[in-house]
Amino acid sequence: MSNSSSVVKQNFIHRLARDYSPLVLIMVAVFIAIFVIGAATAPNFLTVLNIKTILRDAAIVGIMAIGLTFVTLSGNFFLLSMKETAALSIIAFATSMSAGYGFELSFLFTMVIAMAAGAIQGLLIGLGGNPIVVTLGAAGLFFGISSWWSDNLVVSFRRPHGAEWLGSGSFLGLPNITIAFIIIAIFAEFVLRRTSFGRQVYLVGSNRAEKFINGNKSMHNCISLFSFCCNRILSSGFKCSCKLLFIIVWFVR
Amino acid sequence: MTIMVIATVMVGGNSIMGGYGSSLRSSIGAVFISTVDNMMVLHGYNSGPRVLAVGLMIVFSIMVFALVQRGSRSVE
Repeated sequence: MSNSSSVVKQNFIHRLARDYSPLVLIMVAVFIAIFVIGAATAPNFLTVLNIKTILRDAAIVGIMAIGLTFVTLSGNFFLLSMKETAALSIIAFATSMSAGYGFELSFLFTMVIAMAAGAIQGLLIGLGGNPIVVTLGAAGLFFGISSWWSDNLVVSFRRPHGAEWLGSGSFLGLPNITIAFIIIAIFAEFVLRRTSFGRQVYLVGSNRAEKFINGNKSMHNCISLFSFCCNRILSSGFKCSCKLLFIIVWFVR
Repeated sequence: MTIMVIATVMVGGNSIMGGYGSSLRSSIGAVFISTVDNMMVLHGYNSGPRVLAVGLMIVFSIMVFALVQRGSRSVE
């Protein structure tokens, strides 16, 4: 019994060392070094409030990064339209909220918009477009659509609204965005490891030539779709997290 | 924003060529990036040096990853 468990443990450590060896060691070392330096030099670094702020910032970037991870794993690293898609989603969400639809309807509507945005790009890349050019073009397209749609103005709605809990609420002491980030990360990990879709993503990435032979067009659609779902959740989270009563066309900066 | 997200994926150690990496790594990268950013804010840096730091992180992670990949391939 103990023997088998030690074998399992050895295998686990061996696998860990093989998969993650130098890179992760370097990263962990750098991370610990930076954390220690920060704790030693920066004032107020180790306060609870600051840790919460870090986690909240990490959630905003991280949800988008999980979306990008799927695209990266498939071998198409280039996703230059991320910011614009997020902005389009934010404007869709804010417009439908201010038009008086509830949270659920606005959420669904925004999800549909974001998925359509991703699917268009996925389709074009699946048809053989260069990822850089397609996403760069889509960035311009979405930028134009969203500034046209919002008239370059602030979309505002009154304070007691249905989406307030999304950004300013907290659960078990953590901000709700962080909770969403953790849930999305676990879900994405599950999808990547345990479903055939996730394995296909890895396979497409590890053999790019084969991808073109197989002509996995729907594959790309799915990848982009998923990534933009994540993006969308980010965007509504981002919006409320700023505790703005209105949506600035923030991507102009 | 885009550069931050790209840096997050890179720092987490996902391969740009595809087929290697996981979403867990990206999450860790996100925490790392925001820790560095937060620390630089506490030290009073403007947005310029902060973006510079993010860019440097991208460059270094590409270099480290390329070296590691090359090493593992030569072993095989």
